[in-house]
Amino acid sequence: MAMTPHPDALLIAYLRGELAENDRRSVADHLAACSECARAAENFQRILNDLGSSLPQPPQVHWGAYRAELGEKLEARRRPWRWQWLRRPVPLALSAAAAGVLLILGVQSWISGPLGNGDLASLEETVVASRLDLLRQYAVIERLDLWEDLDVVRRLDELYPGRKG
Amino acid sequence: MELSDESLCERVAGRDEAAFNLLVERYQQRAYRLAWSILRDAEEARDLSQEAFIRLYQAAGSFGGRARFSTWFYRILVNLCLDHRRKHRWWRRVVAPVHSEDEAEGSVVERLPAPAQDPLEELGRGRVMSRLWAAVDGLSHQQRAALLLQVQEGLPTAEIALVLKCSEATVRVHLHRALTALRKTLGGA
Ligand SMILES: [Zn+2]
Repeated sequence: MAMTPHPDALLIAYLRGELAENDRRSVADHLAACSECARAAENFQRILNDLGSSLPQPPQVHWGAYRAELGEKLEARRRPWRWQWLRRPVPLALSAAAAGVLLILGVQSWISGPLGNGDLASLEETVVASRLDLLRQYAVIERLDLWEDLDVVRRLDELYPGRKG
Repeated sequence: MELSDESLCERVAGRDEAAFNLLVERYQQRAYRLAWSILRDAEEARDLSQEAFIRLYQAAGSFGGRARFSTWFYRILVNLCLDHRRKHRWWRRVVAPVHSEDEAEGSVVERLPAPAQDPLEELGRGRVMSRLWAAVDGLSHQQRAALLLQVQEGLPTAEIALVLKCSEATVRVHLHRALTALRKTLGGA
């Protein structure tokens, strides 16, 4: 019987029983006649079995925390753009404003001569006072988040104590 | 009666939160494990599997039920992971230059010399297995993804092709190359 070409790419489909009858028969005939392919098929099967029986396990995950985190991410995507605008730039605006105050006071004091200890203290007070106002605004914005039930999402597991991860 | 994944997905399209939560619970472990198998990084696997669920939520309306839900979802997940690896390839090249590329002619494993003796006799099974999995890590992204979808998720070739957005013939070539490389690693003639 004339040897058909080595059916390389069909071997795995053959081993998995995925080939149509014509192809299956043709590969089976080839394997009966070609020891090289027969050995390859045997090795492939063993490797597939070995891989299937020794799957590495990823590091453990706390599934409750995973779902809570997913809930937060999804909520953040659904939040209208103006909420994102309010949330994200505030810490940035805070630092920028504080840096601005420092710069202005620094330049002023530089012009009016070297700072004494009293000047330093008053500079610190001014900066902290300006920050306090901004911080109060920030706290209000943080509280608005609670309206969006983020906290509920964080505590999904407590709401459904029977659930397992 | 338990609702099928497909009907749950239809409900997610109607913004049914409970249906979404149920799908997440059904698929979270598989999604994370598959992402980890492709990325080999727990943080990235967590992040990208969650991203796949977000995409599922956003795109549930386009599911259409033409494929199985699992195939459709794996397609989202696996392509997120493969895109991520492609984007970070330049960095991996710097920190881990041994990893092979999709386009490379043959993987690192294929270039390794075959050991002289049958390692099954030479080493214990555990060592052979870790060597085998190290070789899997050295395969190209596409080859590894095809192989993992087969041995880990048990997907038939036709579904692997749908997930990887390629033809069945291409999947067969990926799998054949992958197994040929692994066989060489184990010293198969
Ligand atoms: Zn042959």
